[in-house]
Amino acid sequence: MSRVRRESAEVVIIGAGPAGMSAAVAAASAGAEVVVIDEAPRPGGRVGGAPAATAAAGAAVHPGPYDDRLARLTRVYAEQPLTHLAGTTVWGLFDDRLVATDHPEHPLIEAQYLVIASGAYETPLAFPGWTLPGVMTVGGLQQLRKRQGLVPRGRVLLSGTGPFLYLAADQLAADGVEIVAVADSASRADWIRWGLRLARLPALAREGLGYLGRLRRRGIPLLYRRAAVRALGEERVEAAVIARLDNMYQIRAGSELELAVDVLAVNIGFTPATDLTHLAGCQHRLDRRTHHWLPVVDSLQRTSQSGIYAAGDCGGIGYLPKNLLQGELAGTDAALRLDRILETEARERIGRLQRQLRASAWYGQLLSEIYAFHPGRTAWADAGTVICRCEGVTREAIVASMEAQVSVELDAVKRLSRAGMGPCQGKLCFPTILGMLAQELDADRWRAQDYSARPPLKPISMHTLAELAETVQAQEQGEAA
Amino acid sequence: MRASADVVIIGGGVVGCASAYYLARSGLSVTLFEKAPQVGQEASGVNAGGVRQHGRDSAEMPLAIRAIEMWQTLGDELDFDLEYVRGGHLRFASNESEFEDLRRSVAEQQALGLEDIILLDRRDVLELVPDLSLEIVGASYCPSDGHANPQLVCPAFARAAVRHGASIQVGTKVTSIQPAPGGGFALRTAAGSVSAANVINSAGAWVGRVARMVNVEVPLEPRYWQSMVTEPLAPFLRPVLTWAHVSKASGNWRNLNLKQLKPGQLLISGAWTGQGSLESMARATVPEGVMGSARDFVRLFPHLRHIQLRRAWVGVDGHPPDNVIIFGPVDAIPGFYLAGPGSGHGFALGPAMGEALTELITVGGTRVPINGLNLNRFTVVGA
Repeated sequence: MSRVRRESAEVVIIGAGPAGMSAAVAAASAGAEVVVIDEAPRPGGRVGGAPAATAAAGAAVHPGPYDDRLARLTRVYAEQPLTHLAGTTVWGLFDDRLVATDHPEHPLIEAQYLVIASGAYETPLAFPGWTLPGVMTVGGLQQLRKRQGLVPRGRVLLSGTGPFLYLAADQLAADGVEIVAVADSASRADWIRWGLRLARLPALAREGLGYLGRLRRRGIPLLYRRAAVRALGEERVEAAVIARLDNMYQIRAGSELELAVDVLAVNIGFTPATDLTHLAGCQHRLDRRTHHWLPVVDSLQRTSQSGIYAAGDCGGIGYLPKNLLQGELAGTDAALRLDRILETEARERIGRLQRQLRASAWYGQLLSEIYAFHPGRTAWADAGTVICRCEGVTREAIVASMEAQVSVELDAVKRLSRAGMGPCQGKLCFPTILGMLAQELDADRWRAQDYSARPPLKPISMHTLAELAETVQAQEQGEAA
Repeated sequence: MRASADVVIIGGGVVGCASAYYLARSGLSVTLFEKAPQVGQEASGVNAGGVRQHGRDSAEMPLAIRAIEMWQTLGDELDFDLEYVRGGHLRFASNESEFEDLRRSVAEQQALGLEDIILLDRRDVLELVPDLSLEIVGASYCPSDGHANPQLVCPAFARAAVRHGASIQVGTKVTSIQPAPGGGFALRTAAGSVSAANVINSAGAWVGRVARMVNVEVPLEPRYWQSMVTEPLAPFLRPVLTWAHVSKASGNWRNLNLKQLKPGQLLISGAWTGQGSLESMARATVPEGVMGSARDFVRLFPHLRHIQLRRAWVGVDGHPPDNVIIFGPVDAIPGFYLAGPGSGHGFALGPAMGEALTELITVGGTRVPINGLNLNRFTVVGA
């Protein structure tokens, strides 16, 4: 195979959320040649780009605690001399930081430095009935509202835990949505403990108290140590079963109550999107508290793979300031290695960013407690509950595949049961299966359960790939001529 | 872990797992060591799953024919649905001279005992594969060939072997093999020492490294084969297709393989390689391979161009210079057996190799001839 020089860039950034934008600004403003690849039609990521899009969609704009900083960053980002590839999917990541995209003009880009800022997705929770229409994630509900101006009609039950649940409840209620209750799997005592720690960030604490106060004034029942553990219905969800939980998050016998609902929205936290760092072959560790795989990074956001950085939520769930700092750190370090920034200036800035990051680490700790993994939740699913939605694999089939093995491993569960072999590559089922494995394996064996990502990371048609092959060939021949 | 065994098997691929099963079933004490955390992680688990006799080298043909016999009842015997489909295998000829070659090779294979192989003209081929959009003159066709799911076969053999008393030690690397003075071997592993009367080296691409522990040289090149699988489609393709053609992109010959798996996905393999390293055990696809296979596929079935690719991957196998498996006892070291490496053929032949090794160890001979497969075919020169 003839190796011909191909399109390259000094810094390629995957993801234009807060961390990605922040990295791009740091590198591009220093004069580095930057290409940003983003799936969304406009920069901002899942949290950002919201106010304009929300208003455009005709929905009410609710101010969030970091809107100003995000708006400022988005403005500065738009002024940078960089290449922004919107609506573009990275389907593969190959040796030597070769990025494969579905962009018709940029099929392959060789990155001198690569910043992965792929963000996070909502942690899936499998329980009986979770695949019924009308059962969705809280984030999904928020996206509909923000991007398309759609608010659910009828009775809405919110279930899960964490600050995002209350923020969404507050905003949906303000839009006139009928929220029948918020079922929180945490206890009141948990929240008092967490709330006291939040006092270090008065703005956020005030924000949280604001949600609670407004929900109470609207008369919305806030149910603690309870959760929607089952969804009932024929064609779509008609009712939810709310149960009281014990300390292990197991259902207390006899505590189940049925509540008529039209929509059940669940959020138990967020999972870092590590498919890119996995595909890049970066070293990962499994976080004991959250069950998240996290790419191992040093104090400059460098992963174990040479020239590859991870920044933002894909490296561990945090909040916006942390993600901005990590992005800026990665972008600054890349600019320094490219010799685009004075060493003294870079060292000074890097030192400041690292101090700020260390000072904000406690909030990530707090979030990992709030969004901790609770094995009791994996028992809510019954034998017939579909765990892998893509391939239709039930809990029963996964248990059978564990029993069929010489030694139990996530990878072997995947091979034998087909769970995780669908288009989502396990995003929606591995957290649950990991939870099931946690009951089977001792801690050391369980921590060794890494998974493998393979291209394409997102579904892509044979036709598109064939066209990209033509483009690559034409580009290589053009360059050679 | 047992301190001694009649047979120690190094490598838990299909040959190793099948050997463990047949040996344990015949009453021998067997310990299998696999360096990976699971059996069937390398070529045996990630190959394209072809179960064919068609086109085999004359030295491999007897094992291949025996293997197909065994595949008919293997799922029942192991109590595991291996997704085996006996849908036949077609090998296309694009022009008259290729068709002439096929005609000759069909006659040769019939002479080797492959009775059901026949030559088909274009019309016959289109009856078998109505949607084919390719200029071909004809094909050779072997109806008794087929395919199975490689991910299931090793675990199925391993589990059945354990039922018969075999010990399967995963995540355990063998670090040294010492022939004992009075016969037999002393082995050191990551989990302790073990002695064995016989050792089977079924380490796939790593066969050469394991053989070097007893100072035996096995000529092998690692090759990193790419496979890829699409989303599931309604059943439309029974036989496995092999299309040898000159690539538009590189001008090289390519041997594209295509089959529809039992759950409906199309598996595309054979034409492209990836890259990797035996030291780090890393394997990776290359973008040209993934995009190139897609382009070949769209040429074969343009009306299916909008289906989605699900996954692409690479498996590593060891290839001898003549692309024929290296199999059987090692003359210089009594009790030491080479099993494979498969040169891409080990999956289909695996059950028959496991059976033949069991026969070699228990009765000293095999029901099918294996002489042409021995390592000594390479060592004649310069010996």
